[in-house]
Amino acid sequence: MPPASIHFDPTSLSKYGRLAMVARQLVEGFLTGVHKSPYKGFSVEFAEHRQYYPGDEIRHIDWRAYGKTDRYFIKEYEEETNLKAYLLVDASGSMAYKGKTASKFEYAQYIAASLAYLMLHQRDAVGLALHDTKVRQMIPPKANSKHLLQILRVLQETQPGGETSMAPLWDRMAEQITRRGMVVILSDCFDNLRALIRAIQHFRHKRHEVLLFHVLAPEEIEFPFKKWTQFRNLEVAGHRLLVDPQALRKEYRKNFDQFCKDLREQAGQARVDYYLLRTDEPVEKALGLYLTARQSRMK
Amino acid sequence: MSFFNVMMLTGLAAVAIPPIIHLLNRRRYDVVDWGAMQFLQVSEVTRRRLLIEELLLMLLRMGLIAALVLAWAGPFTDDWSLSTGPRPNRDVVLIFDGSASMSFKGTGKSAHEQAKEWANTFVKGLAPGDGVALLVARKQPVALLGKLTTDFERVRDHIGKLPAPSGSCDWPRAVQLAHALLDKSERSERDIILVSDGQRFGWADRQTLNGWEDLASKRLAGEDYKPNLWVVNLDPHRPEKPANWSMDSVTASRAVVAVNQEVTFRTSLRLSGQAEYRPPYEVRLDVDGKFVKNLEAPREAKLKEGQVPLTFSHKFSRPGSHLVTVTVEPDPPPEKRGDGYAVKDYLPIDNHRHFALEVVEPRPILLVDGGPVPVGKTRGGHFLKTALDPQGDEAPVAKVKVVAAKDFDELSLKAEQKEPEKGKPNPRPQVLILCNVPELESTQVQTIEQFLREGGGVLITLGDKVDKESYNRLLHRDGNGFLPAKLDKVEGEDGDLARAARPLRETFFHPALELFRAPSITGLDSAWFFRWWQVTPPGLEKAGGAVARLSKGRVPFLVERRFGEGRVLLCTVPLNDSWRNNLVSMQAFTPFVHELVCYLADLRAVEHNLDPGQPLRYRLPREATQEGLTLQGPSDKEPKPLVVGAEEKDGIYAAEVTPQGRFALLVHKGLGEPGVWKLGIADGQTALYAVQPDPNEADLTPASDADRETVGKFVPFAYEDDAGRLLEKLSKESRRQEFWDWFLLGVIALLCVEVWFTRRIVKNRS
Repeated sequence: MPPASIHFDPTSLSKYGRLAMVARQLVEGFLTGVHKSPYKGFSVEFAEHRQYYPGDEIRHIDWRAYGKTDRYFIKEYEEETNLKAYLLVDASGSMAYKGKTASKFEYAQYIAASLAYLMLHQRDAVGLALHDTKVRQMIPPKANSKHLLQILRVLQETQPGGETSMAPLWDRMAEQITRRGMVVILSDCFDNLRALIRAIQHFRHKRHEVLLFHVLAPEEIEFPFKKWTQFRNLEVAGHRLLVDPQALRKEYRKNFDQFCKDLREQAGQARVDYYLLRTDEPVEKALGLYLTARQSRMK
Repeated sequence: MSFFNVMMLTGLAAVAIPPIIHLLNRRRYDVVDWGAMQFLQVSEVTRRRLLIEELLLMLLRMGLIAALVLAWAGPFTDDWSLSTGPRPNRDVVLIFDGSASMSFKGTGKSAHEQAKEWANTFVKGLAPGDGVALLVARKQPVALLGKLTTDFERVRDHIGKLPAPSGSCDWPRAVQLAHALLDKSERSERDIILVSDGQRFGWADRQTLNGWEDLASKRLAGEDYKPNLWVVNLDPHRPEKPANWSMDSVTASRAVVAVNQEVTFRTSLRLSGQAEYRPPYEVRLDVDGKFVKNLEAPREAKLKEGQVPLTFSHKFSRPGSHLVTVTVEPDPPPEKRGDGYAVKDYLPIDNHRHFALEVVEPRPILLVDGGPVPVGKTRGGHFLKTALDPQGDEAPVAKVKVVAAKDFDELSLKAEQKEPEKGKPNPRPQVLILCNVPELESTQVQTIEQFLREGGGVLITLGDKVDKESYNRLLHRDGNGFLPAKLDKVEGEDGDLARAARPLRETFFHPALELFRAPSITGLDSAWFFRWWQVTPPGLEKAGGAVARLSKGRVPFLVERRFGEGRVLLCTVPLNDSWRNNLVSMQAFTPFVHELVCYLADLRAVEHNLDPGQPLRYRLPREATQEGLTLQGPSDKEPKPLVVGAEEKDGIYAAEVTPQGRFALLVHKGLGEPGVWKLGIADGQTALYAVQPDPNEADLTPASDADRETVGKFVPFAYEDDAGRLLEKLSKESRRQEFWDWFLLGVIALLCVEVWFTRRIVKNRS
């Protein structure tokens, strides 16, 4: 069966502004010439008709409808897929950090939208969970084209805030998601590392494929501050620290690098795909690198 | 530990700069909304390490600033136990007491001789590189060696040339000069040593205490570093009241003396340290350096405030500048003294006094008398004539010719007189006196104006006959005539003496009234007048004005104005008996008239008897050359050139010249040394000036401990009565040790540590 594809209505997408456009641009640009869906559906179920547009394959024209109406319609199908993908986007306060680049949450929005677009394009079912210490928005996985619009709307409407305590939440979600699928986590992972890894292992125990996109700002990695700085906690109101960054840099970087290293290593040990995303890198480049690597692995 | 620049210690406040910068940095911070808070939570060990690092760095920087400030403030200590090297060089100013009391001889050497010996010994003890300057304390300090020098041979040479004691001294001024010399010194150790005889006068008398107070407020309080102030007393065993005779100031009965005119001089013998008066061995009178006669001292006298009056007379046979010298010899020569003779005078230097005066030729004067003709004996200008040119006096001050007002004409003021005397023309009158003249005709007024334009002097005395309208119309002419003031009306009335007007002594600032400034029972201010003319002198913008006033409403007594090259004096009271007054019968009348006339004739132009420090003045004719002038001071072996506009230096005296009417006023500042000064004028004439020493210098009483304590409230002197012990103290190699170099080394060391520590911290943190 030829790979099915989802056609998104540009007019509908335009309502979601830049996020949708960026997602489409990113994915379609990437798909040109190289795309071959890694997930192939085995059952196709008619869903609806739509108007023919030049460029649509002629074999999909519903000639019977043409006979009745004297107009060309294309038959659309909802593909039953064996993949259900869950996009777990961290919307906690720490994701709102914005240095000289886009905020981590904005970056995660682009990545999530792009992945949703891509997977829906491949007829995979995509669900979305936006959370901080609790789930703020949950969209169950579906594979139709209108589902993307819902995902995009939720992504766009959500503002980051609240504390990060993801491990218990992920534990609960791992229990709730019974069918095997793909779990894509977009987070800065600023939480207790041990609990975090335990939650990820829980996903793995449930035989989910887990992709961990570790979203970080360059300032968080390099800690370039020189003057005395008051750091105000984005997650806990009123919590602030006045420090001499030059005096703290070494200690900070040591702690931070150790955290990242441990996360990467323990994710690897749990057979989780770990990708570090810096917000100063172009989204398409980061996404492209991931997809290329995944594609080559699927071969 | 002390500091040369104590004010620099205020810089220690700068140690607060590092903490302030730290606090300011903490106040001026960036704000960042941050997510990765968990990584900012450093460990307690790290936190403590950072705190210690910051604290150490701050302390290092504070220490660095403190060390720098301390080094700058110039720390030193007098504890030589901390010394690590040889004694540092010092700069010393030796101030010798130049007053007459230094020549006091008890039984041994005078303090002056001892001072020279002590100074030579002191210089021998100095280390190579030490700087020395020499001053002599006198009324005006003398810079014997006015710059610090390390050439000890030169210093000894100048000590050998120390001038003989003379006059009194102004210690505060000398110390101030020494401070000024040491201001230029770069040395840490600076000493001012006062070599004196411990006399109270000049050290702790009222005037000198004012001087010390002034010095303390002007200089010492503001100085960062005060030099050591030593006082060495070379005559510590001087008796409390040593026996001494001295001669008091001389005064003369006349300021201007005519040839062959007898002048009476007054002075007194001053005795101290003696309970009763015993006649001196002799009192000698010298004129122009030549012995004239021995004066008769009183055989018996009661001491009144330690003084015995002495009066003598003398006539001068030729005009010019003359010097009168009176010398008392209280004790006979040693060979004439008997056994057990009690010496009356241990200080011979103050046994003589000089008095300089000008003797002049009689001056021609024309007296226009407003009285009846012929001039009556007791009316009109008779009084003035008698005062100036008494009948039968062979040496009058002036040759007075009296004319009636109606006979006064142009020829009266010409050199060619109608009646030649001894075949030669009479000289032209130098002063015209209008005595109670009722009125003058226009031609007479023009004649007087011409006389004034040519430099003549006019004295106008008012009286009962004066016609106000005529005077104001012809002589005053609304200020354009020669009359100095407009006549208003006659004031006063006969009757009660209490309502009479008297001349006010406190208004006697005019040169012609100089004689009458001193209070005296028979002085000019004792005169009274029942009537006087009220006049309106010109405003301040006009030349001249009232130069003396009467007690009644402070109305003008004398009014002066310049007219052309000449001068006019208007006297608002009669100088005769036209209105009731007592002036004409007073002793002061004659000198008063003399002074007025001499002033108008430009005879009494300058003072020849001066106090130390007063300027020498001499009136040269305007056209006279200003070259070839010389001046010889009491210590000068020969006359030195007196150069107008030059800078005073060794071998040359400087003078300034100011035009003054027909004359040029020559002024030389700085007659500090008491004694006789001789001004040589180009045509071979000599003008003599006597600079009078302070008579109080004869009081040899030593300063007491209480006096020293009083002076110490203003200036912290260290007194030493044992000259040898002071030498020992001063020659000690261990008195002052500087520390600034230690602190500078500390600065360098702290700087190195700070750089190393900062680099280490940066390296650790990066």
